[in-house]
Order: sequence, then C-alpha cells, then structure tokens
Amino acid sequence: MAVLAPETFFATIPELNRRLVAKEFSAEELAAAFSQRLEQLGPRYNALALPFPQQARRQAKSVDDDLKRGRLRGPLQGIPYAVKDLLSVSGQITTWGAKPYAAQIFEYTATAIQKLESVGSVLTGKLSMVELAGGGGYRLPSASLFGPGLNPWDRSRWSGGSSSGSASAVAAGIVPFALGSETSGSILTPSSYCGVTGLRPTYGLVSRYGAMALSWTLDKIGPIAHTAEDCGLILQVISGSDSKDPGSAGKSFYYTPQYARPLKELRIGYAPIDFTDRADASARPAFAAALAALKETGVQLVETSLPVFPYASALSTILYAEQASIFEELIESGKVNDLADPAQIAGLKASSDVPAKDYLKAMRLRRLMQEAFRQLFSEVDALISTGRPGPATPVDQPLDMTKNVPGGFNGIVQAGNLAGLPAIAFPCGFAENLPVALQVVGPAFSENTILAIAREFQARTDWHKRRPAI
Amino acid sequence: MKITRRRLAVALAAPALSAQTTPPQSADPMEAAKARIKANTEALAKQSVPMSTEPAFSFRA
Repeated sequence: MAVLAPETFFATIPELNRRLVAKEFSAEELAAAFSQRLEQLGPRYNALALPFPQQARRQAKSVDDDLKRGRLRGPLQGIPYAVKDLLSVSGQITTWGAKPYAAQIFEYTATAIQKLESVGSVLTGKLSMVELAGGGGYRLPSASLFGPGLNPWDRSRWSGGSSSGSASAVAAGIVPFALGSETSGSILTPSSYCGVTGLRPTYGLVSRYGAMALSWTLDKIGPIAHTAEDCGLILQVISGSDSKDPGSAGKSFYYTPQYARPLKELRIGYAPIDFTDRADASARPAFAAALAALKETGVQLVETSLPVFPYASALSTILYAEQASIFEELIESGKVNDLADPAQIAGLKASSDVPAKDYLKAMRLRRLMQEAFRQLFSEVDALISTGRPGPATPVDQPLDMTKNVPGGFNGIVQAGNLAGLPAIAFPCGFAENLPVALQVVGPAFSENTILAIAREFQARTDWHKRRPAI
Repeated sequence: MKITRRRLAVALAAPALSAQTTPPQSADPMEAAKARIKANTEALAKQSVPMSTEPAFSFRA
C-alpha cells in the first residue's frame, strides 16, 4: 500500500480527484489509508460509530476499474467519506447514537448515500452523534452512545452537536468529507466548533429517505467538508427530487460558481452587536478581523434586524410535538429511560404534553416567518452572523450554562430552520487557540450565493487550511 | 393563502423579543421540560395570527 503524505488527509475534493485521475495513488490505496485512519483516530475523538473497511475496499476497486476504462464520474469519484449514524446503510447497524437502538438494522440505504455511491464516492464508515440528534433537549455533551464528542483542536473541548463525529472527523483529516443533519443547529454548531465548513441546505433540497426522523418539517441532510467549494460539489450530487421523501422540494442543485453574481453587487445584512457584545470577549478580535476581510471582497454590509418572532418557542414546540409522535413507542415502552442524558429523557417524555393548538399556532407562525424573510431578502441578499458566539465549550460544561445574550440576530439558527433557509458556517479565525466561524444565511434555494460568499472569503484567508495537531 | 404586508405588520407588532429568553431552569429535568413547554405556550399565546393563515404543512389528495 502506498504511504500517503500527511497533507493528503486534509486535501480538498478537487485535489484528491485530480491526483486519483493522475494515478498518483489508486482509489483502493486512498480508501485503505482513510479507513485505517478512521479506525485509529476516530475513537480518539469519540467520532467513530462503525467502520466499513471491506465494503470501502470493494467500492474503491470498482472505482479503479472505472478509472482504468476512462469512465469518469465527476470530482467525487473515488473520494472517501463517512456519514452521521442516523443514515441507514442496508444490512448495517444504525444506532441513531442511542442505546435503545444499538442493534437496529435497516434493509435499505439512505438516498443521499445511494447518490454518492452512484458517482463513485467511497463510504468508509459511520460517525457518532448526539443521541436521537438531541431533540429531547440534552444538557450535557456526554448525551451519546459513543461518549461526548471531543474536539480535535483540544480534546477537553466539545466538538459540538448533534453531528459531532461528522465535524470532528473532517477536522482531524479522518475523512475528506462527511454528511451530517440539522434540525436546529446540528450542522452549523459542530462545523463552527471544529473549524470546518458545513452547509445546511434549503429544506427539501436533499432527500431524507433513510434518515432518522426527528422533525418531519425541520430535518435537513447536508455536507461538512474542508471548503465551501467541496460543499457545493457534494450538494450537487446529494440534492434532487425523491418520491420516497414527502418533504422533497422536487428541485436539484447545480454548483455554478462561474455564474455567481459579483460580490460587490451583494448586500449582506448584519447586526454589529453579534460581533461585539453578543460574542465571547475572546472571539471579538477574530470576528472584527473577519468582518474586515469580508468587506474587502466588495460586499456591502448593511445593518439590519431579524423579523421579530418567538423563534425559540416556535421551534421547540414544533420539534417537541413531532418527536412525541415519532418516538411514541420509545417513550411509551419505557426504553427512553435507557438514554444517556436525564434532560433528554425528560424532554422526550414531556413532549407528549405539547397542546395541539400550540403546534398549529407555531406552524401558522411559520407562514408569517417565511413571508417576513421573503420581504427581508428583497432588501438584502444574505444575512451574516457568527457561527457560534465563541469557541467550543469545555466538554464537561452543561449546555444550559452557555450565555444567550438578547438582541442582534439572536435566534437566527432557529429562524433559519423554521423558514427552511440555507446557511453555511465556515472558519474565520481563532480564540483561545480554538476555531471560530461565520454563518451566512440566504433565501430558499440560494445555495450558490452563500457558497460564493464563503468561497471568496476562503480565497482571501487561510483559516480553513489550518490543521489541529493530531 | 396570500399574506398581505398589512396583515404581516399587524402580526409582527405583537411582543416577542422577551420570548427568546430561556425560562428559569429547575434542578429536576422533568420540571424543567414542563416549564419550557409552559413558557412556549405563553410566548405563542402572545402572537396574533390572521385567521386565514394556514399551518406550514400541506396535504395533497
């Protein structure tokens, strides 16, 4: 087996594909190297759920055959990846990060994985996650079958959740990219904490067939990778209509950076307080420098405010009501008590108490929110805020100790998820020797715009190229 | 259903910022979860929604 240079594990998708096509290494060698890395380093960050070394080798051999015959299937051909353990792979264990489902096996494979397989991407395994994607309202990072997600930049810090393993595995060079999911912050938060680029697609753009349902009207599957360009290339493959997903928007996505509007034509709304008083003191210098770098791209930053709605209450009500139905059997059987986090257990049990009229009120408010955001996006092309107010929190710190300063774009994560809007988080500097990130949110189906903003930022900075000491 | 700017403005006039704040945490997880649901109910009750506004899910025959 060829010994790959250490930087290979942090290469972007186009770089890896170029070297595969140039026969610098074979797909089988690449898959074997990443599989070995997943099994060796994954446990170090509690990132590994289940490795697929033999399956990966078989897939990679098939890719090598295709390459020999000149059957090129695009930039993701031969690229290893792994998925959050809420996506099913036929015949393999899918735990949803939770003890009650530790032996669960489905006989079908998630659509997003099938699509990646069809272009020759090589699945090396499944990655850890917060149990049941944290819908019950977990209090501690340890709320997972796999233990707390540990941050590759500092293992005493949390990797974020609920796509914990997906973000930490990319950050540690364990996989070139991963799939995660977001119901309310589960791609953006771990991407921000781990210093990688995470894209939450518009609701319905990526099929959720084969994914654990937490909230039918909020769940999204999205990529986590090293760059915005990588995310665009992955999204192009995994997006598209799927009759097996009732929430499918029936749309495809084509990554077309060449047709992006010039950045100097873009108006980006922001709230200055997000980067000052609402940010951790240690992160403010990084955020100030990031805003300055963003201005140099030519975008116009304009002060604006979010439409005023009780986003947190609406999201919590919808999530609770839907998960109460989804996990009715778990709750009624008492198996819910086998979960790791007492707050999560209580939240799931209590979720059955959400009045129907509250759920419907929240769902009606979503219509008003959508309309309010449509109007806001007639004035600005995108919104920008921090990915998180500061760097990753200590792994033993309860999550309800995280400060929540009102004002600015407080609630933008819940708002963006309630309105089904796409968002991207990308690294923009460091605080306390840990990465911090920006978050850009756009109108529905504006992925090319928000990717273009992040891509230009990454063309002018090197934060996304920084690597933790492994 | 068409939402006019006027209806939207009326709906948005309801107080909501205070609803973003987290209710006081109880040491008992079940009590805390129930308090959260109650706080959500109260926050949603303060919101006015035009009668013609349908929920954001659709049923197709």
